[in-house]
Amino acid sequence: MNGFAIETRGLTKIYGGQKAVDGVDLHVGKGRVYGLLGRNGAGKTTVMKMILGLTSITSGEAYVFGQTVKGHEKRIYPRIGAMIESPGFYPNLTGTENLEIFAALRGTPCPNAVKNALEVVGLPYKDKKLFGKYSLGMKQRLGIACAILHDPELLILDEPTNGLDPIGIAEMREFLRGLRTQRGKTILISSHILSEIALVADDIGIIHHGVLLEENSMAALEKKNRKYIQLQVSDVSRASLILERQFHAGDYDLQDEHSLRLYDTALDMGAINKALVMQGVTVSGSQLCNDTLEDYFKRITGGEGIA
Amino acid sequence: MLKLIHIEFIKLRRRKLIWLMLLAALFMPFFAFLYFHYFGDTGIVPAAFYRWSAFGFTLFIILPFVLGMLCAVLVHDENRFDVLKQLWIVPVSKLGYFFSKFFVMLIYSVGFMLITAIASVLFSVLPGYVAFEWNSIGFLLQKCMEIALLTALAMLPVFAIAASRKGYILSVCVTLIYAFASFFMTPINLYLHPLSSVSAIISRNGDIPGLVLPQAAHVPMALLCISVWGIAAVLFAMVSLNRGR
Amino acid sequence: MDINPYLLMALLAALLAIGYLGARLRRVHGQLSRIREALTDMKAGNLNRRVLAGESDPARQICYDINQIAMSSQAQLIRQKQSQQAYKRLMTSLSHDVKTPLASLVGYLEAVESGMVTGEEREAYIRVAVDKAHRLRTFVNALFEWVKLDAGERIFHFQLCDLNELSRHIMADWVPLLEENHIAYEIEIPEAEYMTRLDPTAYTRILNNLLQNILVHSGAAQASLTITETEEAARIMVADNGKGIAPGDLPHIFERMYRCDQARGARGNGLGLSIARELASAHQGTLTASSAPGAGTAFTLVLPKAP
Repeated sequence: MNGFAIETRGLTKIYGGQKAVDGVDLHVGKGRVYGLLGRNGAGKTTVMKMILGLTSITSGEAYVFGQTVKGHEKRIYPRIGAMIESPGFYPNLTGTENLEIFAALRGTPCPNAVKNALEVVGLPYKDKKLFGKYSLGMKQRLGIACAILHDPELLILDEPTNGLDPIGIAEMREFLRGLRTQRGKTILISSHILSEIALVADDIGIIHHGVLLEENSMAALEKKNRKYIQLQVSDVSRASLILERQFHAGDYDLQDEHSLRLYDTALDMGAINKALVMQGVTVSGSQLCNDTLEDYFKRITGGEGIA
Repeated sequence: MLKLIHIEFIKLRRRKLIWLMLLAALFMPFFAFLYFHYFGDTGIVPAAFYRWSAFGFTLFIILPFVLGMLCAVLVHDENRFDVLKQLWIVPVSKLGYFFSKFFVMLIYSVGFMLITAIASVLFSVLPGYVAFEWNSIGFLLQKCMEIALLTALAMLPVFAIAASRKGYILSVCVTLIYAFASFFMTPINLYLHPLSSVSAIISRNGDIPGLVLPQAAHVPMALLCISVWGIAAVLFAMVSLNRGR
Repeated sequence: MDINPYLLMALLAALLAIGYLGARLRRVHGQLSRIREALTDMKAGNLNRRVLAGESDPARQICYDINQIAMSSQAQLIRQKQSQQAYKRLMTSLSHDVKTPLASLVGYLEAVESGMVTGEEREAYIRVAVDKAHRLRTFVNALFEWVKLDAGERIFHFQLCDLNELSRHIMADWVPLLEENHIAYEIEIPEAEYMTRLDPTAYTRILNNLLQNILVHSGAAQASLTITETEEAARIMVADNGKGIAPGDLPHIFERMYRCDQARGARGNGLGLSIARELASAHQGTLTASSAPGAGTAFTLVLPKAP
């Protein structure tokens, strides 16, 4: 069985002679949150639209649950919930009526799906307010409600925090994490804000000018985000004693019998090395890691950065 | 399919334009009433009154225009507010989408002509211009239903264009051009334009006085014309919907 | 030939009826095959799969029931996975919580033993070593308690007693500690008797953990304990005016081994609140937290009254 909920191979889209998306190989594992990170216009929306079959693919393939969407629409679409760009609804109907249309078209997994979905996103059920009168944040919430109406296995959300206030953004983050940890859903989410993605995603793909520059797990990337001093020493007990007494360093961790990680990067490395050696502790290696994810992304995008 | 049609009706909730357009059905019967009132005639042949109130401009201009507007209303909001992309991933089939809307148009057309028929009877019988008789009313109803069904079919090309374009104005313009084109093409050949073909079928037995056609009514030819245009329209709509924007 | 118009109409009606029944049969058939496909998928382990049903589908109750079963077994599976992960986290944190202090403890003791330090400094080293040993013991005790609780091996001795009286006793022990740490306190315990079925040791433990939390983490200048009652329950609120908990951390504070301050050297073991909550739920009670960063935190314990 294929372990990926979404897999693309060499996905390419050419708009009017220009490559909007260029050979993207995306791998979204089942039960994971995948953050597609890139600037506005980097090609995130186009990738999502191609995966969903909402726009034609110039070359390459997109597989959802191991099948191409084209030709299997009836089987695959009911298992996906998606919100692409700003959600579209009928302005002359209320939020509840709008959702009831989609519930009737698609079918629901339980009798009061519309009510549940509205509750989850924090919109009132059977409210009189027409969609045309909704604020941007409310529209966005209704879009999410529509995407989760049928309790799909896979959610594809394009910039879901667009137009939400800081509280709304935090709620959305909690909600997405909850879907992933409590319900085991797979989520593909796009954003142009690194800090936002970093808080929810398990895996990250970085798209820049239509090219997927990097695809990696958040855990692996986080290692590039740490600030610490790594020390290779002969005797960790002695070393820790010296660190505590002489440098008042409390924030450190033992990696194994011979290595130590100091999280206070303001300490003078040279002085530490000297003190350790003076007191008979052999230092076979020391290294300062002082990189942030932003720095790292700036480097791989050739100095432009992603946000 | 029934579900889709039902949902189409839900989508039209709170659209005032739909109801306002139905008022247009009263226009010609009222005009006929004024016309005959001016001449002060009584005891006219019912068919003559109905020719004015139901088979005249209603057939050529008003009903096509109203249906054209309806096409625009039916597809416009879905296009403009980007609901379509959400419908496609439900999934709703393109053919189902197209025909559910067409059926709404058909039902609306029938409703419109029913109102025209009822108004015609009221405006003719109540003031006493026409004697009340079941025969003529039956004739009127039958003709109105024919007009309703055939005109809706003949409007398929306009609907196809409306479904494939985003603009509101454009669909209205296309409707006007379409309706007037039938006016100008009627003298050349009845069976080039679906709307003129409809009029040929309606007056096939020469039983509508005053409706003079340049050619003899040939029903199979007219049906052929309507269906060729209709099928072409459906194909065009499918291609443009599938292409995706 | 003369055709009977009634016969013709009857034929037409029959044809319509056949067409309708045929369409209905096809729909039922389609739905059954969808159910079968979904069940195959579920059998293969995909419990996120749902069978969607419309309002008028004849088999909709079956679909709803299948979804219900899938959802509840999915929830159970996820709970199991989470507890597995908690154990994994426990093992990794043992490295920090046991290995690191142990290493530095050995460092101090070795320094003393080898005569590296003498006199005043020697005394200081021993004091530090003792302090470290104590902290290690506290942690191991907490860990042991938590493991017992988690495995359901802790034996509770529930008895009917006055919650207010018990609370007063506990607070009496805390007053000197709070004064010593320059924390102003406000204690509001009603005179009336709130008879509650509880295990006094466990209840003491909950309050101790919450107060300890204020002492160690909040940096507060003021603490309060307020007991109020409703129809069926007693509400014990422990609040402070300290630094508060960031919204991102708040949902996780009751998870085992979760620590808000990423500073690893900070005191505390990440078990206190988790234990408190487990104990509260053993009393059929709830323990919740609310907080505003910078303005303080309030923990609310709700215990049902004895009938």
